Amino acid sequence: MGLQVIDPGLCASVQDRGRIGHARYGVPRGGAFDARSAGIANALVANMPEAAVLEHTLTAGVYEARHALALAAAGASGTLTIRQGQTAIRILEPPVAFTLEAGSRLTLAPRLAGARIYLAVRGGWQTPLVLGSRASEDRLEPGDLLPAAQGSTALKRPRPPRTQVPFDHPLRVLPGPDDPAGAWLQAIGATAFHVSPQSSRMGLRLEGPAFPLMRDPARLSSPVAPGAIQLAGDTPIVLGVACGTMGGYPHVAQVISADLHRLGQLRPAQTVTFEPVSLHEARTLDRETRANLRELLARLMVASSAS
Amino acid sequence: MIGIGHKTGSCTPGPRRASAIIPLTEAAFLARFDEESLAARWAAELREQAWAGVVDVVAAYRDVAVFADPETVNLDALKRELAQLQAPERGDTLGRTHEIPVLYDGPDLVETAQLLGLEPREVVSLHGAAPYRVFALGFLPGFPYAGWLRAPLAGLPRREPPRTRVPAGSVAIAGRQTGIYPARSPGGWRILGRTPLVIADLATAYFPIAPGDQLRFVPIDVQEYEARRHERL
Repeated sequence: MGLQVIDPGLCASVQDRGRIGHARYGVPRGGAFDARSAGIANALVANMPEAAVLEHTLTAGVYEARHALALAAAGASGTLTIRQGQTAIRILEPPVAFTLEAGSRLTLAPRLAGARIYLAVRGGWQTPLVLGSRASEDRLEPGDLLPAAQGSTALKRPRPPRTQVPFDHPLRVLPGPDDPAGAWLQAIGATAFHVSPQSSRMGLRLEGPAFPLMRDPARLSSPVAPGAIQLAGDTPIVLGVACGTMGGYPHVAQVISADLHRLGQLRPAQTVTFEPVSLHEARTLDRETRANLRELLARLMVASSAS
Repeated sequence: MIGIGHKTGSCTPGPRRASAIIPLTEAAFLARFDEESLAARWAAELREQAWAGVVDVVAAYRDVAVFADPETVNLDALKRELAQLQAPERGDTLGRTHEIPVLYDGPDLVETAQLLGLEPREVVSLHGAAPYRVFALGFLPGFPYAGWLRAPLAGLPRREPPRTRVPAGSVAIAGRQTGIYPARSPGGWRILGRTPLVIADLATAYFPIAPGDQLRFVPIDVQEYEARRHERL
């Protein structure tokens, strides 16, 4: 018993924090592309941040409760429509916690701001664990059932948590190991790139002017991490959370950890600019971002547990 | 054209030490080496020592990524310690040698032989002639990149377009390298044959092959292939 997938839209999958410590075997990290929003959805049903969530991408999708479920949604702006039979009985917006009664259908529709909505259930989705994680690159299909415990929650509409940085702020980056002096970042300056529709959890392709780079024809593959910016030809690719563990293209820049979650909310055609920061700044921002998120999740969790 | 270059000198290179330690992310370093086997031995040594706060050590060719937990480790101190870490003498940890039985009946064997101006049996004997060093695991969990192929076997590009389905166990070559598909996947390497063995299993975290190990391919017949199916390496 749990939630049945009626229509997963463009792409939906189950994610958590992913697999850390297995890149040595070639196992990608995976996990929620916007881990911050996944954490917020979890906190709204009093889960720990690492509980498994449903990651729903870009286009509308439909899910049906097989028994009553305590759910919460966070992430992209959009609408959640709850239907009983043909009748829409409630329209909600993330972030929100609510009960989906047995037999009721939920339509998730991300809108203009952001690309992914995260749907958490109290106790987490109980899909199989592999190497300590339920994260999976298998796309959900109509008819799939996500197991979860029965539950209910009062309707909760917290104020949308303020993000650390404005939506259209540049992505902050460090020079990459193939360009430690930052020549590519200097050359692109404030150039605006556009997110290509050929983007996925593995990587975001960026369209824009070419900045040809002298390259080492004998370059060997080297380990990479999500957020790496590689040049494939002259096309920059920002590696996503499901990227492989190594890459053969020049690694010219690296999105800082504090901004990784923002990659998960970039939509096709959206404008992207970059802002170089120092290693010291990147570490400080990472520390602050983690501390702020911990505090936010703790506050949401206390409020959720109290109800 | 933008010129890029590698800075060195962020640590004192010494015998069996990294030639440079540079940031990969703000909480990970890339240790660079002058040759592949030194990188693999250094990575094995770091894993063996199991430093607190080091969450993953990923070796690929001449680079080793060291991922740290910034909550528990001082990153500047870690960088200094990494710069001092020495790989053991060659021979202490030369890596294991894995015998990979292969039924050489791959869909690309005949075409590969034609492109190289060889007989298929010559391709088979050349492929099995020498052990190959594993440089990296990647592309798929547990996929070993090994080499180098010697002339005249080396130099063929990948298939274009790649196959949408390459079966698990396929043994293939591309460029100067050879590899084994641990699971079914799309792929562009030229398939020479198949091994009956399970060489990696994600569900049980079974990854017997590591960078620095050696692979030796041993031709087998259909009977042996069937008899050993699903056996673990």
